[in-house]
Amino acid sequence: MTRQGLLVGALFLLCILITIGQPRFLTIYNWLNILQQAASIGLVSSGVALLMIGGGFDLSVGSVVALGGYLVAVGFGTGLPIPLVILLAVLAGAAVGAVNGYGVAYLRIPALIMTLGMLYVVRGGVLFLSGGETAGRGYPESFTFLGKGDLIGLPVPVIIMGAAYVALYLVHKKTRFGRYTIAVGTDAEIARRAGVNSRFHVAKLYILSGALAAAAGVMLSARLNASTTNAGIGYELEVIASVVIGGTSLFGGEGTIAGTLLGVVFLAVVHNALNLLGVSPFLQQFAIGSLLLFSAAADILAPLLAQRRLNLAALSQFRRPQSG
Amino acid sequence: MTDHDGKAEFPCLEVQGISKRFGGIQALDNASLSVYPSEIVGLVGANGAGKSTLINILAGVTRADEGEIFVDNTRVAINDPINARQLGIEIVYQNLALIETLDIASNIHLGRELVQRPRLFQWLNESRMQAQAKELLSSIGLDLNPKLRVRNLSGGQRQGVALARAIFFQARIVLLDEPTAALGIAETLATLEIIEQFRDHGLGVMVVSHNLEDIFRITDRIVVMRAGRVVGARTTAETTSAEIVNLITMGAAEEAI
Repeated sequence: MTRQGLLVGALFLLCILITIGQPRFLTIYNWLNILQQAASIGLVSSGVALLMIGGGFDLSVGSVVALGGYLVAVGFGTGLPIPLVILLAVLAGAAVGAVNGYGVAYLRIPALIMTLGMLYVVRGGVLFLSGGETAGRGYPESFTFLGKGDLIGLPVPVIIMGAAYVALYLVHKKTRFGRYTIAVGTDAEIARRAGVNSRFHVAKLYILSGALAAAAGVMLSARLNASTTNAGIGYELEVIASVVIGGTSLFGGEGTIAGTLLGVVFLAVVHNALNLLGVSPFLQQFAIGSLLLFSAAADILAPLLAQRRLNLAALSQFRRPQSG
Repeated sequence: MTDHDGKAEFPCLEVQGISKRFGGIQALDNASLSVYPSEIVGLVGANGAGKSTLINILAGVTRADEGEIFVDNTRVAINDPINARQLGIEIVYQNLALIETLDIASNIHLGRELVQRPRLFQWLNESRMQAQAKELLSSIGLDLNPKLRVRNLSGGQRQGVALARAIFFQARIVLLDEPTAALGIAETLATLEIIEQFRDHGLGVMVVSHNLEDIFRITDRIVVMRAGRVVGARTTAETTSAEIVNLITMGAAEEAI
């Protein structure tokens, strides 16, 4: 809770500082632009957030974004109807998630290695199949609406991202699935002894993460009106940074969906501000990496500091002179 | 269902000829014992005697190589933890097996959450679970807010939550692994009192402990294990601490000669 308060405060302060330096920042146009650009990373982050609360980790999401976009090109190339094109792409992402989940939960391959491997397997596969070229462009307008359209004054990608966050917020807080996610992320063996099918649950979380990453790829190809094979490169850093800055524990069991959205917006604002202020994109990577490390350090140090305070409090009780 | 002694006719839990081998180690060797309703059985023995393995087999965490298990005179197979629960067997593990990041009510209901209709979304019925948890806690004399996170509880309070969870869902047999090992004196006494309540409510209880003082305070019978075998069973009122210690160590002494 305090972590998110801190984040809101930092975001607010950042906004004030940027507005002083560049008044254009505070226009609705700029904000909708920020949110629209953040939408695909935001969509990926929502799934990864739940996965990380469940103790998992996914580096392969960026490649799955490219896979989703590539399959849009393939789908339209074979003349499939739009809903089927989208469904196929999302299912392919879920399949990659299933492979990740099987490897991590059943074969016990460390998540870092499993999803790093899949990062290259999927990216390499997409590059090979597409010959490294942009796989498709010039999609029907009813499809690009998903990436570029407006509905009730809001960009459609922002609405999609918002819907995903509302849905996952409810899943996390209100459903048995969310409860099991917290339990498995805290201690999978204890959850198993309580009757939770821990391994299968972890696999489901990877499937969710893969499906949402592919959906983000679909959305991105709609926004760009093209399926580029380098889509989603570097997403893993942005996504994990958003989730961790949003207060999700690196060790699983703890985290919030709302905090993740805050983390996504925070990073998007940082990017936007650095752009508006004319800072080099190379330095932006430096900044995001630093923010990730800072948040990770806070995640590890905060419980230690709290424990130290408790110990000191306990000590001072012993030192108190006895009455009577 | 009771005879003139006030004792049930048949045990609620009976284990016959259970063996379990881990690689070259014979953890359990033809072990047999029984627990009757309204009875507390103490299971004692040195480290490595096979007590924990036996508990794990009854919990459905490990599977026996040989032997039979009966619940209420019916032969059963316990393949996983869900199986054990369905049979009314509840375990209180030494580490308590609570999820620290969840609150008390969520821990009590973990794996058996109440969901609202329609069941499609598995929407949790939070208010009913909280109310049930509150009622359950006060029934064993614990005044705790079920919304508290387990992380913020003391050792004794955690033990209370673990004990409450054990009796929540039609448990008939409760197995406790070292329930007092990590507790202070006052907390130990409170825990033993709750265990005695289990017996008074008709449950069959088995307590694994190294603390013979606790064992003599609450048990009706004491079963001694050594090297995977049951080497003796005594009625608590008719035995002495010295005899039990002798049973626990006897074999070792003989082998040493």
